[in-house]
Amino acid sequence: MGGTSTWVLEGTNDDRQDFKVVGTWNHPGRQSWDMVSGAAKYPTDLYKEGTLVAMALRCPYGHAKVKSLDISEAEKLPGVKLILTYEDEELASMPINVPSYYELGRSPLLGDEGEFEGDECGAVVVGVSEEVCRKALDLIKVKWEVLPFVLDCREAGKPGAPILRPEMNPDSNMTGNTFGAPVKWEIGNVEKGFKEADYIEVIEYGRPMWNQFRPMPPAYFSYWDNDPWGNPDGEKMCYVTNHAHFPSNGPIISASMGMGVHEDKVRALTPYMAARYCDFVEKRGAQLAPVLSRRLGGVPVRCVSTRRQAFDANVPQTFFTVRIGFKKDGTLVAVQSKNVHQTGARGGYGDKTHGHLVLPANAQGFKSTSCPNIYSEMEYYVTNGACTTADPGKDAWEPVNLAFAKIADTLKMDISEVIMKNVKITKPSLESCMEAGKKAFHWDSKWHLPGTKRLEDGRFHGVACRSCWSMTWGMISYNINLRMNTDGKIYMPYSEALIGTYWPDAVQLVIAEEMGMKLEDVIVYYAANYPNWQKGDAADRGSTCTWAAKEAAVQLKKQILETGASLFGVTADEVDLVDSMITLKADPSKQMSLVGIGQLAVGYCGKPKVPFQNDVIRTMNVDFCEVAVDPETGMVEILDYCSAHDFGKLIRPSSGLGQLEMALTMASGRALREEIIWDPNTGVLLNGNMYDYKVPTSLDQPTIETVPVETRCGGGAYGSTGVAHAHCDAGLVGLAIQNAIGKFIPMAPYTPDKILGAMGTIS
Amino acid sequence: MNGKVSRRDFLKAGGAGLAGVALSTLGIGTILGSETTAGDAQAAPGQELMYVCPVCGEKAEDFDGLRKHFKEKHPELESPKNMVLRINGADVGVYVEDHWTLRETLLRAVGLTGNAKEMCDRGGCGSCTVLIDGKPALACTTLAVECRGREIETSEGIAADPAYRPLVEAYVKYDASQCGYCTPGQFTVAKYILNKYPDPTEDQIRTELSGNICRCGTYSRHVQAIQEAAAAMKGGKS
Repeated sequence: MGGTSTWVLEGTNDDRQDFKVVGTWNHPGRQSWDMVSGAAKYPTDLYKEGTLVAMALRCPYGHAKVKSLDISEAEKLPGVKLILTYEDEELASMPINVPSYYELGRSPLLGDEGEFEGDECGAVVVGVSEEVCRKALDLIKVKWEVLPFVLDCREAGKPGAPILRPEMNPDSNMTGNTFGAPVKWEIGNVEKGFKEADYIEVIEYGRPMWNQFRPMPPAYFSYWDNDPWGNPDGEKMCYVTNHAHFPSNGPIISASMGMGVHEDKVRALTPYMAARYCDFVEKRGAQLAPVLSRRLGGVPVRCVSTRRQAFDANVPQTFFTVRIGFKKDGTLVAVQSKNVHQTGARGGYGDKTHGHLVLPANAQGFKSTSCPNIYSEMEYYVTNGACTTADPGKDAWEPVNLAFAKIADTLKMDISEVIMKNVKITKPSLESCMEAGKKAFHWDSKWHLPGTKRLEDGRFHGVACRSCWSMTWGMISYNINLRMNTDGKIYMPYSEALIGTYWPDAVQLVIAEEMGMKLEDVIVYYAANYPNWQKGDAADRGSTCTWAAKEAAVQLKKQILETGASLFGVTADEVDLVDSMITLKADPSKQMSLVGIGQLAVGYCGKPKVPFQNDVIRTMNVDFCEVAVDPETGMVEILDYCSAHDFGKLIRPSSGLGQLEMALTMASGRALREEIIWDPNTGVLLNGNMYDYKVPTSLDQPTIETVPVETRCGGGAYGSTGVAHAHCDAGLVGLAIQNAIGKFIPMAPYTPDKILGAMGTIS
Repeated sequence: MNGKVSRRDFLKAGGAGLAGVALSTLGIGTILGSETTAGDAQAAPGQELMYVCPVCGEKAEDFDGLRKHFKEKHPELESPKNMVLRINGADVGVYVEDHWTLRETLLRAVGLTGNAKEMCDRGGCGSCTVLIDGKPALACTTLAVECRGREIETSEGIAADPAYRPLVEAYVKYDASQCGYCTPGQFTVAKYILNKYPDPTEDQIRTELSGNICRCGTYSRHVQAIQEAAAAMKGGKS
């Protein structure tokens, strides 16, 4: 067993024990009715009189450069309003700045080089309809210079590989497809550790590029119109749709920076943007749509991407080879990890050719084990294929859990024991999750040594479990403004585009709880451009913004009580807020409504003192999986998922548990079938549609049992913490398959060909 | 179940109004409150779009005006067609081109966007599912001209039907939406399921919803919501 967390709850009332609304069910979200009825307007739903459509020319090759363009015939087509090429001066000068975190980095907004098949380059057409745009694009005569391409980051790192972005490190003697030296670090003395080990094994883990599959294909919609309160500075307002959750109002930032206007002249049109799963890549349409609209006098312009074109940003490849040394009792004593990572066509996530790597998979996860000797080396290479997004899972823990499984397999141990033996901090969180999860999953009756159990139908049976952090993103401060209006209601504006986590509704519960208000008297409402800095809706930051909301609520309550006390003629200590009424403590029958007592407001900006990312091991979770493997077909069926997640404090159960269901459903798709496939000979995407890239349907969704654990050890309000990021990983299914067939499969997804290959049925 | 679903909850800036074309029967009136309220709350995008030239963007007063505009300004092109679609119980005269899908027509000419969602390009996701003569149909692969004389139901109309209020309440209770993009399509199929199976099993629900993709993985919530609505609509709990 590992150590004990010494975390002390911080902030006002984080140790609260009495809850009226926090943790309770049946609180429909502010937007729920609109989402169900269809009244909610998403960017694809916006259509105004005179709306024009914009579509870009797409590179048809794995890598190619425009040698010449002839747009003369396309311009003659009726319905075509504008065609801009890469030679357009304004486009060539954009982006003026480099908005970090966005795809619109140092690559030109519309260049002459297609860095992957489907990349927007060369020209953009604006017409009255998609049909007109498609015809116009067909009429553009293009001469392409086809360039060499690389699709696999391991190949991109080899000597002699084609140099895809020679400008990235022109003076370096490093392999040309990287933009920096390998990231290396060491803790302890790894060679010494291996000498002390009783066993040394090697594990392999790889994942292909896969697609988060955002439900709504990008459809940036923009127009310029008068400022609603006039044009005080003589400039019109740019209205844009929102497609990025992190930071939110991404198009506002992208558009304003790209066009060199201030952010106050750009306004978001709708809070709805459909889901993003830590995919904060912004598309070029974010800047193209406002520019094209401005060129055409401000008319509405919609930049259209088809579903296939939406496969231009994917979760990157990563490959691990890890040598582990461990003792006879299963204690890990040495880790030597090498990781080759893909940075996508632009370099880094999105378009950051300056090499900004976010959440790279390397040996970071091993830092949360008690292993004293760790060496990590990570290389990263640009490839063709697509831009890259962040991973909605927690891939740093994939090799860790694989190492635990390898130890368990070698020593014929129960993997749950190996986890508890090697994770550095196990109390109270991991221990609670493991205990609750094993009980709910019936682990003790299901677990067996690898390859030793068949079901009655002849299929192999396997189970596995894995551990991970429950993430809290403590790097972000939230700006919460609360106002008591003359109607006696409490109002909180927010501006973030919504991706499905119901964070404003969780915040509503916290505010009501802290203030003693009825839930219906706390109004959270969308206010375009309101800066909840750091902006953004994300599963794991929701807990952080509840913390800021709690602090703000406490401050506003104090003001209200001081006002109410003066009206009662008593001191503030003698009154309380009960069910939205100022109540005399000595005589609760004496109450005063908040209606009409005035207007009060507070603002609070801050965050809990929670460490970021790699050290967050106070709140943990354990997932369990049971599979059946057909030895004849290689088909894998996930029979049961069980997730014991330490929420710290579960604030809004419906959405909190919904995040687990979401992440594990996505994980099942990743594990069994999701993979981006290109033609190795042409670099052309082969499965960019919903039939060949199959995400889980209602029939594919496994049984998912959620087991909430509450240790109050997180960084959000009342010790709450994040959810979804911790669970969207493929590896657990692979471990269960190993328990079934006795073989490790080094590469996800775990498709029948790999299963049969591992079993020796096929070569 | 919290039955306090106020009109205010439905008074959202995102709700499309469609003044002038039988609001209440289309479902919009009920969703947004009274017709007057809807009209006051916002512009009526559906009405604005109805007679706008798709070639040059010029707006006509009515369909005859649009046809006249075509003959004068675009003599080389075929004049637009007008047709009557029966949507959510109302006869709606819309401008439509022969090649327009029902999805495009709902978006561009009618202003009902619940089932105008596009996820897949080609009939693979179910987000645009409407009911045509009571059966699920994909609006993205159905031409509008095929729908003449047929009953079209959209999520807006179903949500506005008091008989299906228990379904709406169950959906919002269970967070059957996460990002919400696919939800109107699923919700529309839910009505079909309730009509087909008075007491639907989980297998029946999952099978009927298997053509509706939800990347947020809300499938189990639809099962809960539909089963609870079925019980409530049979006179059970509410």
